[in-house]
Amino acid sequence: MYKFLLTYLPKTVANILIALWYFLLIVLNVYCGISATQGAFQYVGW
Amino acid sequence: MKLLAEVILFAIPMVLLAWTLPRKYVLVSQIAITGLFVGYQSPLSLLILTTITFGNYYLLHKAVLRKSIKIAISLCILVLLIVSAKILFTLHNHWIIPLGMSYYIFRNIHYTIESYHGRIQDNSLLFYLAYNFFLPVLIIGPINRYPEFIRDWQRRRFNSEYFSLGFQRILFGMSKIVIIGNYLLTSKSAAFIVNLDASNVWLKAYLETVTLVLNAYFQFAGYSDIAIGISLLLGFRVMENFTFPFLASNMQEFWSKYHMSLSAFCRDYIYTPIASYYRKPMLGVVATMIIIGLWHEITLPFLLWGALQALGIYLAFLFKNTPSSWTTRNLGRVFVFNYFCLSCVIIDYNELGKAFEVYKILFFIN
Repeated sequence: MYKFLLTYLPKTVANILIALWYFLLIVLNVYCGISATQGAFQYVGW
Repeated sequence: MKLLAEVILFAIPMVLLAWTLPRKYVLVSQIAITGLFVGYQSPLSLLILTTITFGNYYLLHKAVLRKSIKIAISLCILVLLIVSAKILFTLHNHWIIPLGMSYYIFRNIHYTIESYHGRIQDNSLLFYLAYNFFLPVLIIGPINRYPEFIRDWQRRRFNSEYFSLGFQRILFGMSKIVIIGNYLLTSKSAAFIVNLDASNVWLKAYLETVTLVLNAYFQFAGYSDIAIGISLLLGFRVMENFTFPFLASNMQEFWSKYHMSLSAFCRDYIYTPIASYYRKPMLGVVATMIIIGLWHEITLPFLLWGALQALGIYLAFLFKNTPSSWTTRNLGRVFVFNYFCLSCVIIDYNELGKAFEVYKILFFIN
């Protein structure tokens, strides 16, 4: 994907987009992970 | 999910030691950490893994017997072990199969056959132990190959591109498991299906079938991505396990993209010998697919599932001369996706009777 972006965009813009993409994935992982195990969190009293 | 978190936890010191220790201690550290991990999960599993590894190595390289006899004994023991384990653990529902046994037995069979053909260049005990005690692929594959493992070890040096790719694969794998598998295909889709109108019986059954298969695929592909990612962090390139299987336009292509390490193993060690000995490729396909089915579990549903996969490949063989166009390729993709999902109904439920009830709904049979 990085190489694909580099063919159309300047390197700085491509780097920012890639960083945002990874950041979004990490945030989504945390959100979905907590959401899918909400029952477990409630069970241990968090 | 807990097991996956523990694999990642044990992989962290392994990666740190892999690039800080002197080279001669790296494999020893990997073996020790994997041993600790397996022992922590189940001491019995560690005992079985250690016994099989040392036993097979001793038999192949130290026992004073004719080469063909050693190979025959090794293969018989390995096959008997996996078959008896699968039968025992199918009969006793509350038993759990030793950690990673389905995979490391196949790795040992591969090593034994390659050893017979003289394709094992370096047969030191340390490399063999490191191959069998390689944490990333131990539990759920991919079934990596010994020559590639040794080649990667010999060429291994720190490469920032591999390192970055490793982190990327781990993130993608986590996303497949957590976002797509656990969140969308389990929590959200289950709520959507439950809230569907009761009159939509067909839609409910179809969506349940599709989500079960997709969830299994994303979980498995995610675990494989994480295994490949951790291996890259350690400096090893492990073979891919999935390359967009649901974009395949026929079942033959599908099985070259789905669980590739298992299908490649079965192609090399089951299909090719049978097809070339009997000169009947379809006989090789049927035997291979049934063995793939039984490898999951030795039960009638998995045997029928394997036979259905063989039928799918036979259909691909029948239509192989159909001219390829945009329409035929996409129709093929729709067929492959639905055929695989429908064939999995037979293994989705514990009883065949329940599976046939779902088939009745899906095929509008009253």
